[in-house]
Amino acid sequence: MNSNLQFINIDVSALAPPEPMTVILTHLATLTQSQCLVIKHRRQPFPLYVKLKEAGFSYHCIEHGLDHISLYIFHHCDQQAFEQNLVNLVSSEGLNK
Amino acid sequence: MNGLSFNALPPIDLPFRFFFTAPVFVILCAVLILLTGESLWLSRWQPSMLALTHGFTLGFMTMVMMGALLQLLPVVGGVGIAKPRLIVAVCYSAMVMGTLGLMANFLWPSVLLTALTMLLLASGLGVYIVALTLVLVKKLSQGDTIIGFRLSIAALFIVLLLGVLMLGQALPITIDISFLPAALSGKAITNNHAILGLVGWVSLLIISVSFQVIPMFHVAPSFPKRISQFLPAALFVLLVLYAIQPKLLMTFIVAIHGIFAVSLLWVIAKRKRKIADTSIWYWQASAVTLLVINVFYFMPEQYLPDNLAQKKVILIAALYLYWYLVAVIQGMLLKILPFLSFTHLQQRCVSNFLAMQYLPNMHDFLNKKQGQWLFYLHLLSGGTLLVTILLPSMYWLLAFVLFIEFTWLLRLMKTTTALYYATLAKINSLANE
Repeated sequence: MNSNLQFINIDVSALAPPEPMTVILTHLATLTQSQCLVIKHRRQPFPLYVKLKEAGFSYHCIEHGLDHISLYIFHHCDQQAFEQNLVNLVSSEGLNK
Repeated sequence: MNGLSFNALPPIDLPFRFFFTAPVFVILCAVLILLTGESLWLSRWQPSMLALTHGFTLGFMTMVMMGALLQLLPVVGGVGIAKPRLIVAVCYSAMVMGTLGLMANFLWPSVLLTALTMLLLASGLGVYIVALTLVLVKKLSQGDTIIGFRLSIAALFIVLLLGVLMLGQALPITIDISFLPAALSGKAITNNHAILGLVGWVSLLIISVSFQVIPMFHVAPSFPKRISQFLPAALFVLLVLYAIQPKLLMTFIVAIHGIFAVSLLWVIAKRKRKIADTSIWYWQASAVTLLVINVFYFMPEQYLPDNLAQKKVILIAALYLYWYLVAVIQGMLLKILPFLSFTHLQQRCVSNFLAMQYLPNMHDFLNKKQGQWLFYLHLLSGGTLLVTILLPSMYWLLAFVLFIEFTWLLRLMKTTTALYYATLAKINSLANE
């Protein structure tokens, strides 16, 4: 298992619905294994979570505060690699899960 | 959010059946206005006026809000109601038949109709309240909006209870309401029922929803924390205490709406995307209406022309009901109909990205110009309503404009759903290949 995930950052926080989802889907369509999509958003896209699981993706959300979240989406098979990276991510950003 | 399992959006046909039914009730109200004539406008206690107000409040407002909450809960809180298809099947049918029964019972009162109406509305709204409460008691995200939802559902429960008690007075087995305090006797119970319904159920819900949808859809800043945190709770407390000191507390209720209007206009003005948007026009018109209501309410009667002073209460009620509540609901429909259609289709693409090629532009679901025409029609019907209150002989024009406006709304909905199902068929055919 490769623990070096490649993080792809996108910022959809200044977009009006449904543009954030359009941007996310466009990136998910080309997301390969060992890649992780990092989305800066204003709110959690709750209904998407069920669909992501059904489609073979995992996700992790960090709430930074009002109107600011980071959402990580990656393939199921990269779960372990993501968890190895998560500790570093949290400590480097000084975030609470 | 620990321990919660997130829900997907409920099937789109569930909220849409509420949305499609709502304008039909207003069209029915237009027919009622036309057939009843000038006598309808004599007093708010006219049976035909009660049928009309319940056509609007239950048939239009509550119908749309019930459908919208089904979708809003999973989006805002992450969790929707359990067994949505079953719950909606029961609530929707009972609500439609119960509202029709209630309107008919005001016009042609009978014991059988009263009993049936009580049963239908109590079961329709009761099951809905229980289903929502089971979700709202969980620890959900987006606290201020969810707290507002909880308070408005509590208000709806009290409204239903008071409504059932009042209907029960017409039955041979009279429900004993002597246990109610004196402040809730006679016409006071009707006033409390009306105020809790319009302000506690509909307005409180609209205010709470606005905390989410204005920043979300229009990339605007959040409402000031003090407003989103304290305003819904303050409004609810005032409503609960309203029975004790109606005159005094009403001034605070009106003033709180003024504060909301100012903060709403401020948030809208600070939005990042200042593009022409009909739903924003609706929000702005509603906020201005609330400010006009404040001026009108607090202005001493000696400064008002006689005809305005005589009809002050009914004019304020009309402004509040039609220019504020109906306007916001209609504006939200213009926003959420295309958004829901697009989002439901978009979510299907998560498991098959090739399907994205079939997604139309979101604006194709609801033509901008046609949406703007709906707004102009609403201004026209709103103006005609005020004129009709002052000059009841104009009732025929109001009936005509209402009929045109809500038929137009139905047409817009039909266009949206037609495109939704056409696109869905393409996506499904791709999945079957």
